[in-house]
Amino acid sequence: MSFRQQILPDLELPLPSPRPVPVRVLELPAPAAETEPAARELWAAVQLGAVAAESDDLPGDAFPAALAVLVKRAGTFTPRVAVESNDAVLLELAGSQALFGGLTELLKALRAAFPRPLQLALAPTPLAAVLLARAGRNCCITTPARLAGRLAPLSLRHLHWPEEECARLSSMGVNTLGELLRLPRAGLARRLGADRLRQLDQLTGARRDPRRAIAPAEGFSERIDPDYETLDRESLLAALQPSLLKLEDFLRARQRGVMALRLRLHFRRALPQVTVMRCVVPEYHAARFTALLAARLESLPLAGPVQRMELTAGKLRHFTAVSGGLWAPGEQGGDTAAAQATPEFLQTLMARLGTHAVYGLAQVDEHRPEQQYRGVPPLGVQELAPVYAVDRLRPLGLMPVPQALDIIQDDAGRVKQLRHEGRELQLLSGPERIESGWWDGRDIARDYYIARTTDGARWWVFREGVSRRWFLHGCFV
Amino acid sequence: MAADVHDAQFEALLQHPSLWRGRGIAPATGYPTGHAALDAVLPGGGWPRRGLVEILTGGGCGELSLWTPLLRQLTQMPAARCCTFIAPPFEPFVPAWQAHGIRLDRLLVVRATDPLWALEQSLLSGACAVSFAWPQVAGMTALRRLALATERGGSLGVLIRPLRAATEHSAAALRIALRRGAGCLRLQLLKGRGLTPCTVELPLP
Repeated sequence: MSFRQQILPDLELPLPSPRPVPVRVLELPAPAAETEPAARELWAAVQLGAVAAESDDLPGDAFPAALAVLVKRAGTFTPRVAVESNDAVLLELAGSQALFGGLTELLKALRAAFPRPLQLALAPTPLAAVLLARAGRNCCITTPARLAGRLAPLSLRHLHWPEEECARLSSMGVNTLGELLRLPRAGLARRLGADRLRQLDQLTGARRDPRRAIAPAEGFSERIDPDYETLDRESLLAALQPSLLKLEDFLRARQRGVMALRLRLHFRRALPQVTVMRCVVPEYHAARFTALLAARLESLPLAGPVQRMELTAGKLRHFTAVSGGLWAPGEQGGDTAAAQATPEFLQTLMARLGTHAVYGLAQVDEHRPEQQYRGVPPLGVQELAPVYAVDRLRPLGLMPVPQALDIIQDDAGRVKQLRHEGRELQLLSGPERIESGWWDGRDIARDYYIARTTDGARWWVFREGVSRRWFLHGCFV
Repeated sequence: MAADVHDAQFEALLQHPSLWRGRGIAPATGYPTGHAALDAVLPGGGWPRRGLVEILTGGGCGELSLWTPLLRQLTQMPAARCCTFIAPPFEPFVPAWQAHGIRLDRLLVVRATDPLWALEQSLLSGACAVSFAWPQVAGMTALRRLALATERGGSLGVLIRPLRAATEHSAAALRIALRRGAGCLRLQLLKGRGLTPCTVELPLP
């Protein structure tokens, strides 16, 4: 073999190789069909037993308290924990075997965690595990091939299907799962519905049975006891500072932000006072929280000296950090800083003035002037409503409520002069009739004029069609 | 010939914004006002980019119409900052603003019982290109504080105040009294850095 051939085999023309290289064809697995079971799983079902199962419909949380304890304990074995119809907890353990040192050790640990009155069964599919646990078969089946045989003697009632369906099946002579699984599929689907057939396929592992893992809710809550009871806002803020820093660390570690922060103030002689700060975007900076709390505390009337404070963070939200600008605002390229400053600025205003005191504007496709606009959350996306083309002159400012004008009549009862707060009005142009809204009870019929006052201001006034009264509606500011 | 070239270079040097000349103020380029007659007399050739401007008016004289060309320019910019209206004595009537070509999603209305606080916040934050406020009272200390805030935040603040405030002292960088004349808008430029007090008449829209 020459040097050339050794180093650069690809650049030369194909040379006869010294000996034929066996060609290996890789067998690609066929694309997974819907009916094909997923990767090998091992599900354990822990069943509460008859007593707790009866207290299914407890009011309150997502599932009964007894089950919540089990869910918490199951979390030490695997992150994939699910709850089946409020009487059993499911644990997916295929990945946990190596961690516990084999199946035998894992089973021992499981038994220790879920002692005897609780039923425990392991099977390759979640439904099979639940059924075995309900039937009180404390067994461990790891191979899917043996599953059907072990399920066969179980009674149909463990399926928790409606009574009438079980009665119908029993009248057909079908009393056990084995007998049910032997029935022809087409007939079964026709009699019981495709949904039941799907359940049976999931039971035997012929079809996937994905379960959503329960994610434990995280939260942040702190109790702060100031050194002494005080009314002083600065001292309260200083007392809150360590907790806010802790909150920042908590959020930073999880790459999360919060949009709401609740502060509960306890007093010696008054009921606790609760105030909620809301942010426009998820926040995690302690400095921002401090600024918001400072703005809020400044305007919050306190019922007395504060004895204790409780700080609770709202729901944790996904937070995407924004790259900070290199330049301070006002320097070159200060725009990025402006984009960052905007939510902070809005939050500060809202914390002190209230959420509704800060708003943006949007157009509404309407003919009635007072309904042609509405307030929207600030800096939202601009709506692409069809623009109602205004070919007439319109004032930039509109009175929230039309203000009545004083009418001075001559002897014949005709309008001689219009006045508003001592200023005389002179009509410049008009009328422009706007008549609309008879269908929703807020109908208007108005003749609009542009008027000027003696001191030069220009107003948009109208005469109401029915009452013939005059109103000031807008101002050409 | 050579002298002309030198003169031109010298003039160009004098126009450099970082150069401060003792006799006048080196003109910082301002925003064009949209009115040639006004651009000609305002220092910097337009509205200042930062600082406090006082408009003294009886109300309803076109004190905002004066600013609509600037608002259109500022809101149409890519990555535009907000234009904020603090405690206006009216509701902004959207169709009229749109008719002027002003983008609505950059406008912000703030209802505050203490407009001066909200104005200071908006000037300091750097989030607003221009903030308009209608304060009930504004003392000399408050105005000085606001003027400092405009410098720190790099934004423009516009105070709309009654005409009677013309007699009071003010820390504003520019003061304009606005009246309506016969078929025109009469701007009396009272005070400004590098400004010769004069009167400008603009045709009415």
